[in-house]
Amino acid sequence: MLNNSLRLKMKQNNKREKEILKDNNEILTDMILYLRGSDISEYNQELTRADLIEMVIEGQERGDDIRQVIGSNYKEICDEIINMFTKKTCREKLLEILDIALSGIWIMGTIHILKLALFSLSLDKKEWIFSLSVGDIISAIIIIVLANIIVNSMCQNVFRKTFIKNKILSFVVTWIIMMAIFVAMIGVSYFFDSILISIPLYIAVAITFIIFGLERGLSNYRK
Amino acid sequence: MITSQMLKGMLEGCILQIIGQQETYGYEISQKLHSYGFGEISEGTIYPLLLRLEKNGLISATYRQSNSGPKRKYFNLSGNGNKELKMFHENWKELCKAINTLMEGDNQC
Repeated sequence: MLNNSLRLKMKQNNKREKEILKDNNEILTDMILYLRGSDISEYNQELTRADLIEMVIEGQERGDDIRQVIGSNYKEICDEIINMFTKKTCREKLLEILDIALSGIWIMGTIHILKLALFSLSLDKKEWIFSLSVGDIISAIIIIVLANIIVNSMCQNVFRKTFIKNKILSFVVTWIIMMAIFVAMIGVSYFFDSILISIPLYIAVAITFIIFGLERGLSNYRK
Repeated sequence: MITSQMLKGMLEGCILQIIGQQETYGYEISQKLHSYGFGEISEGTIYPLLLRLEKNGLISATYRQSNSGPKRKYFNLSGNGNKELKMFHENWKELCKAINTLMEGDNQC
């Protein structure tokens, strides 16, 4: 999903970040997460991350912690930073969605292929067939969409420590939501079991490779 | 005490003035602001303003190795930055005269 200059920047930042003390790193991580959920490009996120890391490291050398370096109004500062950068255009957003979709397809496809291959290996009669039911497709879409919603929600609410102050209640609500999603997916697989696609496994592997290649190409094209 | 609301709109001009004096970096700018009586302004508060000034071509940035180790971003005033700074000086004189006239009936600034 990453082009080379972005990948290099990330690598440099990951290396430098190891020099940050644990307490400082928690707050810095929150700020970076918030930026990740914003509308600025990944490259600009990494540029900002690099600047913030250097600021914090230099502050540490002086004996200052992150609160003294950055201040205490982290969200406000992040919002100011986000406002400085050009927002992603419609085209960039569409390409990003396409990139995420292609990633989801080849990853879910690979998992499904492995699952079917292992299942076939366990049978006496080997049937190397890749089949996809309507339920499988709906479940995959639910997983991809939910994963993105959860990640975006976490990023945008990182400075709100808990939605629900009571930890036990928070745990129960999270558990109920997860169980509801799990039951919904089982229900979808059960009720929507008509087979849409049934092809030899090797063709499915080839198609997955092609989608993987397309996703790589798109990722390198995006800046 | 200078409130943050009063500082908004002024801080960029003040930062240009400091950068115009000599090449400098974020922490040094916040220290100089403090020494001039602006109170504690963290590097984090200045950072988005520096980004904006750089984006608008008023300052240029170069990365250099600092004495203490980490790479530092040094800022210089550009040609457009100089013009902007001159305009800030004129605007400030005008504002200062107006406020002094209002407050003390004296338009000296």
